[in-house]
Amino acid sequence: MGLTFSARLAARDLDVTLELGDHERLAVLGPNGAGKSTLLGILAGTVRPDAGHAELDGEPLFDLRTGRWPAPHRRRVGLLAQDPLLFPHLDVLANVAFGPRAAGAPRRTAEAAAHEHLAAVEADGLAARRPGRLSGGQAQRVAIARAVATDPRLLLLDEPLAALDVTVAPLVRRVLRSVLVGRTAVLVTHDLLDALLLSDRVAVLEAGRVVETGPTADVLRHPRTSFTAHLAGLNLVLGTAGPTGVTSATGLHLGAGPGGVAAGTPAAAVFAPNAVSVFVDPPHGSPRTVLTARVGELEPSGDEVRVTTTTTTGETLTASVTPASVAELDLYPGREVFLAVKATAVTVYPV
Amino acid sequence: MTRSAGGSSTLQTHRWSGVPGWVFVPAGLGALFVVLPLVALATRVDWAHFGDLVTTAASLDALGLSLRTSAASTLICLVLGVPMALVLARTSFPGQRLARSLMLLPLVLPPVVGGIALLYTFGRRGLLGHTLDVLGLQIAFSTTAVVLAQAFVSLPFLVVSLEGTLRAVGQRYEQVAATLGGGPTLVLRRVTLPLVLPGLLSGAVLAFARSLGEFGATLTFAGSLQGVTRTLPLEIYLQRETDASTAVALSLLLVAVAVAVVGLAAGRPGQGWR
Repeated sequence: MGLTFSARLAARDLDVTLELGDHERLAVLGPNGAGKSTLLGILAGTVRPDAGHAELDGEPLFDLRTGRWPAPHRRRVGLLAQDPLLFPHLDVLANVAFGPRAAGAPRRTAEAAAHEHLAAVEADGLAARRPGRLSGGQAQRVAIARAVATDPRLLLLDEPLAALDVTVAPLVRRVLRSVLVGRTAVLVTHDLLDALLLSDRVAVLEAGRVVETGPTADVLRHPRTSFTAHLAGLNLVLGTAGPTGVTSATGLHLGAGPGGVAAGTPAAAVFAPNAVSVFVDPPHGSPRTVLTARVGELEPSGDEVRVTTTTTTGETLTASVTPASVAELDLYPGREVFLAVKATAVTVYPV
Repeated sequence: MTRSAGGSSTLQTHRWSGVPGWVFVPAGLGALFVVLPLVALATRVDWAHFGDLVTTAASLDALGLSLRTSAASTLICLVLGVPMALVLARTSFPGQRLARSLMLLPLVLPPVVGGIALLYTFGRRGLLGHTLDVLGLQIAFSTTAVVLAQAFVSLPFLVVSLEGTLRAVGQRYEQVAATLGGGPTLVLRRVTLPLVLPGLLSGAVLAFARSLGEFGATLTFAGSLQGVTRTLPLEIYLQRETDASTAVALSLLLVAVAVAVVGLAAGRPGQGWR
């Protein structure tokens, strides 16, 4: 049950295998050009891979070993994109009724179903409107209703909240969360919050390959790639475990507790930006790692300021400091600083 | 791009255009170049007898024939041109560029040449002449020939106009419609055609207008027989030799019909969606 998927497409350098349990929602994360949209295209049937096969709920979705490649309209795979793409010449009700009508439902049945789906996304009051007269958030809610009105076996979501204003995204996210209950879905996103709230599992795609996969919370807590660490807002140092911490290939040594990783084996050390202290003079005292680094960028983040730095060994580490410290320490891009990381704040795990 | 009424037109007058001032001089000259001959034509009309001149039996025959044949030719352009535009805009096949160039050939071909080509295709001794003869069909120098000549020269206008609109609209709506379970024919009918309706209408208007003005191919392939193949342009050309005032009056009538058709299309409210 659920989805098993395997496909290869040389033209886009994509080679992906995925497995998804019944009614599980998978978030696909990854940098631009990693192949996320191609993956959705293959599932939807608009991009044909060189080879591959997929089963959905025990039935073949496509199987190029036998040449089976059904057209998009025969797959019952729904798609919700960043742009709502409501048919501009049809009113909201007709847009949502489009799927049921295409499936052969009589007009009245289809429209009754459309009203129900609109109510579920809190948009039934908009039924008679033309898409041109909807706000971005309203249009996306209608698009959600339209996508689920066909009761798809698999729902594809391509950055569904990326185009929305920050003020309306929470409502649409809440609607999406309720609509996704009991559905198998694949969600492409750049947003940590979307991954956390809308998915059970994540798969991180880089250069057309899955580089990391697992339950959402685990992956974000214990990232194994710099992309995921960055997304989760954590600092990540990959290297080899030793008795006093983790040493990266570039020679950066980060002091940490044992963490149960055998010495000499590959390990990841993760710590939050607020575990990093910034000094302009070499600090002394408590057991901690002190690194020399150069300030790259300063960026406000909530009540704090995120200081992105590059260490002398070339690692990018982020520190979180108060605006007052920025002024006091006179931090500016290019300034040389000392970073201190408390050993107790570093989590080490095998990779 | 919302359909908020009014707002856009008031904005337009204040909007920065970025057009250099001197551009208005050649632009104005160009406009004059188009309008002045029409004014000159209007000044030569014998207004006292205008009504009589355009309602002679020959004139009415020609006008009626022109409208009927142009409508039929536009219909042929729609039936054949819409699928052609779809194939050109949405699919790819080897030799597509060549195919497109060939389809557009009538645009650059002198109409007389088109007429001769049609004659050697559908004429008695033409490529299909024998086959048509067996079927008991005589096409050359009939009203059917008029329609074929008009459709031959008008088809590219519709195809070009519609293909451009199809490309501009893109396939994203069609893709969504397919994921909603819409089969290709349903999507074409309920999504694609409504979306390209503005382009389809302007293409049909262009084809109709081109058919209305067709002369060279018609004369060559269909001849000039009153009530059968003598359309308005042919009648004007004939009258010009003998009765200049009728020719002028009919010319103005043709201008009026053309303006009405184009105006009908351009003046539609709510052009395009959104």
